[in-house]
Amino acid sequence: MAALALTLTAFAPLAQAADPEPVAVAGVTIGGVDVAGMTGAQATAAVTTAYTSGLVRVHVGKRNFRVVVKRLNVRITNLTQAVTAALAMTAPGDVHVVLTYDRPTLIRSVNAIDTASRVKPTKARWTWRGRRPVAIAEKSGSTVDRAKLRTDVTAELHKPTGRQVTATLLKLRSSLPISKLPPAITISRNDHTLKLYRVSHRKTVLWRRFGVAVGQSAFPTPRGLFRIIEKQRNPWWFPPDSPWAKGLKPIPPGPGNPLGTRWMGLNVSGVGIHGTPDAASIGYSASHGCIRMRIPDAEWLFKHVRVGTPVKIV
Amino acid sequence: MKRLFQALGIAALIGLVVVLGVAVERSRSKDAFVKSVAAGRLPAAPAFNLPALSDQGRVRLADYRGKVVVLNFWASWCAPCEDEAPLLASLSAEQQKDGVAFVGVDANDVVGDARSFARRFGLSYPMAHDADGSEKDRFGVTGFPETFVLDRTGRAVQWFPGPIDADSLRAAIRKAENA
Repeated sequence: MAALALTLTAFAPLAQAADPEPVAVAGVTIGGVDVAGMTGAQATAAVTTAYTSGLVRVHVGKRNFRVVVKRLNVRITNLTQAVTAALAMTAPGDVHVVLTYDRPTLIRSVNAIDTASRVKPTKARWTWRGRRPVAIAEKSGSTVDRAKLRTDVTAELHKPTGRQVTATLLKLRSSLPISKLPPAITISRNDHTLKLYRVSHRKTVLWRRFGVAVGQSAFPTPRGLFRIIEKQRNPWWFPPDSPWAKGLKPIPPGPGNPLGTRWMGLNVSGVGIHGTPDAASIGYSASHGCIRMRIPDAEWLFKHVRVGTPVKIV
Repeated sequence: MKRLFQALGIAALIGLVVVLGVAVERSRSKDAFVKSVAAGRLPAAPAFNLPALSDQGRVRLADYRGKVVVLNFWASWCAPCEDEAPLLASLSAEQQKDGVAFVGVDANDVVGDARSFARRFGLSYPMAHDADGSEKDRFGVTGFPETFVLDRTGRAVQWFPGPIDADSLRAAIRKAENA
């Protein structure tokens, strides 16, 4: 016990005799980190922690993301010189830091944020309320301005605290706006009408109304939603695989062709919209399932619909 | 002058060949899947994710991996589908215990009509509703009914381009189980 006390007293004067380790004076900062009263080792640790750990918060719309600084492998290249300079200062002031970081990782992080937060644009489309088509407007999407976000995150890396960025969003336009939505068709079997609807000033309007013939009771025109999948001018008529057409021969284009001069086939085989030389049948349930129109009507309709046009048969 | 005509003729010929080629390519792409099934190449069936006809949840083909699937395309307005329905009802009951799943796709149809059709024939297996038939088109189905039998990994083993009969369907299921 006495020996220990002796050694302690023997050491004390020695420690006091050595030069005290130099510390930074009040008001000195390194890259904005307050190092007042710190020794070289303490300042080095404080500045390193501030710049190489923590997060950069990234706000994208209402969502929040974080870039983990540690993963960017930030290095302060002038750390030794900066600490030496700070300790040598006799008046308040800041010593700048010079940083390097792993750029490919930053690019990947920004890309990942964009991918996770991207909102895809939607196309305008038709929906159906009973027999009436209603055009639904497109929605634009958004994507992060990646180049700007990279610059902004880099700028935040140069701040010791409170690192956050609000990403700038770029608009993604829809590939099909409502103004470009092609028309839609409703065919009423009871009324023997074909109505063509289009979009005008973003609203659905009735464009043309035609009298048609539909399937007779033994061969009813199917009810449901279809799409036009093929358009043919001056079509051949081929007998369908049906008992009523047994033994019939194909008919070339011409005045007597039962399909008239235009064929708009639906996505169920054998059913389509076509002209008819038998204009007297319009207004009746007379066909074998097809929708017959007067020849000039069919030619007009043909010009104004396209493959993909929806057809609702009620 | 003669040379000019020759050149024009060759150009026209090339044009014709290109146009024909495009036409053939187009028609091929529409029925590529069914042709591939018919040729026994075991193509993977196109994945679909459709609303259920019952209006509750969705029907995803991928959920049936690990089971042999009998995939039946139909519409309530299709007369041959009515003839086929009782057979589907009894075969689905017979086969369900053996890790065989029946899945129906009602396409180009009115939901109310289709629901009463399913009820009328006691079709109790999962039914998808393909409103405008665009998923059906991806399979190359052009009429109703059409049926595919898929193996446990989703490859199409057999295509019935019309109503099924019990023996052929049982044989196709056996073939799918061993594929």
